[in-house]
Amino acid sequence: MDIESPSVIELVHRALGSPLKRGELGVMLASAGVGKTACLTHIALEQLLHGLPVLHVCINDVPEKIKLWYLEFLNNIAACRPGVELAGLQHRIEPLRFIMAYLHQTFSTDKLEQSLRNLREQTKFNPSLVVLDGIDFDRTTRSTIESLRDFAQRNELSIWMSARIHRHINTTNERGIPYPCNETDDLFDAIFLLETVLEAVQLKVLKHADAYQPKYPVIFLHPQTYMLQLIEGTH
Amino acid sequence: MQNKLEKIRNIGISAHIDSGKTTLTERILYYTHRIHAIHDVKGRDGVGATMDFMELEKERGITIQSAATYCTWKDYSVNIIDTPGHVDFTIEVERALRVLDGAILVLCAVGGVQSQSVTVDRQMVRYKVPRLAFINKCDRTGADPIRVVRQLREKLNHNAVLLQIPLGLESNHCGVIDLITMKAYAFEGEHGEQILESEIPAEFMEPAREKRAEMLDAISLFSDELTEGILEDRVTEELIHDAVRKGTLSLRLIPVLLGSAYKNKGVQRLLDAICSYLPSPLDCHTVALDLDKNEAEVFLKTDEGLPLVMLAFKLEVSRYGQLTYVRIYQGILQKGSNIANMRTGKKSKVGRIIRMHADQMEDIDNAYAGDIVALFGIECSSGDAFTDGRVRYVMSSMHVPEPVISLAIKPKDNKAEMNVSKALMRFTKEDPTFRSYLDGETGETIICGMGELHLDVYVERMRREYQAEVSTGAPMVAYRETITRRADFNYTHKKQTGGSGQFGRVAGFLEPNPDGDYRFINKITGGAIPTEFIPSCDKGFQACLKKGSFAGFPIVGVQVTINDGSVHSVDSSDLAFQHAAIGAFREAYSRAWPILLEPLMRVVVETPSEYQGTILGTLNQRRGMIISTSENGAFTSIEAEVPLSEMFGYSTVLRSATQGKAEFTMEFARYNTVPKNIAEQVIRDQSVN
Repeated sequence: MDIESPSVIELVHRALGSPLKRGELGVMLASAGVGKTACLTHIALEQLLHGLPVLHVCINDVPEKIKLWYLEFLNNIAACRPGVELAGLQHRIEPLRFIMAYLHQTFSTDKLEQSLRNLREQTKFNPSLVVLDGIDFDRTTRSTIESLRDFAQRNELSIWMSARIHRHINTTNERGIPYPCNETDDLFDAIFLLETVLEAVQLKVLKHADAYQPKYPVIFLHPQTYMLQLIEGTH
Repeated sequence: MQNKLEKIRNIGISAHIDSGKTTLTERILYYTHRIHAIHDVKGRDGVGATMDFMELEKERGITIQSAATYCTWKDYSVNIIDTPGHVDFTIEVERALRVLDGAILVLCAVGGVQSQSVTVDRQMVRYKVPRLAFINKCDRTGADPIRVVRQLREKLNHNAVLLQIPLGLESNHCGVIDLITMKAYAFEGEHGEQILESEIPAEFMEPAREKRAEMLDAISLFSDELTEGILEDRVTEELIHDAVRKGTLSLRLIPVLLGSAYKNKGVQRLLDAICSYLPSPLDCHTVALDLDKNEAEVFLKTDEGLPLVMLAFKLEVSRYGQLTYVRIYQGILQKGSNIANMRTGKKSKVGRIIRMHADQMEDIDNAYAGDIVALFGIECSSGDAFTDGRVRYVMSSMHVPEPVISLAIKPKDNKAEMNVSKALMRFTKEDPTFRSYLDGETGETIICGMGELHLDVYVERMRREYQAEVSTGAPMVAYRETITRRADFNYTHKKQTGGSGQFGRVAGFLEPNPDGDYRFINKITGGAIPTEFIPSCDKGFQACLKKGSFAGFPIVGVQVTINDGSVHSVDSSDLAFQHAAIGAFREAYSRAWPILLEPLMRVVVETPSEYQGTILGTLNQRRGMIISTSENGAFTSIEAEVPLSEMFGYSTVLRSATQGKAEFTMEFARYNTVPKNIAEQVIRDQSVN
């Protein structure tokens, strides 16, 4: 496997980087504990390391935990790149990252928009990506996702969300999209599925742009670092 | 002895300011018969609570100095350290935590887990102190202990488990329902001294059953016997106590109790829990460093036959002289015996050994491992270790932060001048984060500390305790200089002005040291500089660090390597090489691209959510980098890193921006580069001064 070939880099970028254009919505589906938060943090980091501001919203989780994820991944990056220091990486990303937590069911799209307005007006922070982690999709209606899509379009930013799938619910629509996004898949521009396969975490693209089950290769991520482990079926 | 140690509890009470910890301590002392009347903290009766014995604390209604006090509950001996609640005094909290075996985290049932509680909790985690939580003020309007437990889980990431539920809340709060005994306890009598045990009222039965099931589920993780007991439906109180104790000691469980200290509810049950669940000195493993074995770690044992090892953790001036609080870790301390200070090597004789009860004392003849007592007539500084001379152990060094703010003080008259020096000598011994020095250039006395309030309190103490009136200048930020690139030097110091000459040449380079310290590396080969002159070079370089030529501030984070030099058989001397090093450093420093660093503070503002935008604005105007916001019901917590120089007067700004509804805490985070335009201004101001 030659990970230097342009097609692979492009694929990794599409899958883990920024497959969304401004105004678009993406969702990362996985069962509990597989690594939704870790993957979303990787997506955010990729943007941050490219100098793009990210708003990381965590629902029912405290910012401290999210900061630990970033620290862990930055440590991994620093460890495998000689000459790159953790402090330097932190210094680079921290001014571009903002973590916003909503605890105890206090989240709503209106509140998010108000908080973003405050941030823009008071601190000139203007994110190009919003990571929205922890929304309870079992209780999320179509109109909530529509409102988030409108929010993304109005504010010219992309949103990556996480959604938990349940092992005991096997509902999947005719386009191959499982519950809980089986009735709202038309609102998403990218739908990824994370699954544990043997010793790795497998990332499958279920939808990208208008294409369902596109012929992208499957990516395997390291279960601890969530860094690229293997790409299967490279063209 | 073993039996005696099992019944000792050395505990601290720490919490957010105004969560009622001093009132709680006062009630504990009342129920343990150490005091016979109850006074309010804010001193409506003009007496004030017993633990707040310093006049200033009485006036401000806050605890600044921690006082140790001793009491007994049932057949247990309990030493309590009351700890300060403001972040500016965290060294006090940290010192107290160092000698404690367990702690009570007091939380307000209305305010919940506030920013200060987070800071204090982080310190407890650092010192691995097992703790109980006591949710106080359940009688207040808006009290919601269930929400506070949720916050303990979410904000502090604790496995917090309720052992009680309230018997009524707000004005109906009259006691607690114990989920272990499944009984209701009401506290009656003038000071709640009568505990009435009864069956759980019908309306509380359902929630009590539900919470008991949650409790059993959570604590069964720590005891297989309890898990079996649950499965076989034979859960006993002993099994529960045992599981809670195991969980608490392993730091994986925080048992939560409830009440209202002010209204005398629930305090006796808390005392029972302290004795049942918090560790005895036997449960704690203390490590010392053996000076005779290159600071190898040694585990101390509570055996009284072993050599004495104790730590002085607090100094106070009393009417009768210096009072030194010590914690004994090993051996026995006897009146009239000799002890040796491990730092100074000085020996002294133990005069009086005192058990302290706030500002009242009880003389004792012996104190044993596990005890916290006070001594008279011992000359030492806070943090010094003592032994009986048979071993040379020191306790592991404590983390002492560097001061970040300074203030020039000027005594108003001659009498004040004398008293100021006495006061400063005392304060610097008592508090390692408080420093003072005489500025050689301006002749002013400078005091340094951890924040505005920290220094304010000491200035106030000078006035009150030492009758020293002083005027103060504007607070000054502790800026630092550092370098950003390597620069070579090759400097020859040559002087021939009659008499013996001076000659020394040093060559090498300066480079940044990312860990922030000064480091000297000698790479001289072939005797280019003779070994006896190497320390002189080091001394010369260190002399340059005191004041940088870039902006006049101390220099940090520099590594100096010398790799060549020359010597003259007659004219080279220590002094010549010191001068050569000074010249070399000056020559290279300006080429090493020096920059200015400033202290960056981690600021956490707790505000009603509607003021979020305003607060973001105030922090941003102060060059703050906002890191996160957490919305939690009606309140939002905003975390930012803000330069200290921008934080002066922020409390006033915050009060007026939020009608006094928001509050903030601030602690030193790290040093950071000052932006160029601001650095230029600082340098201009510095040159004017």
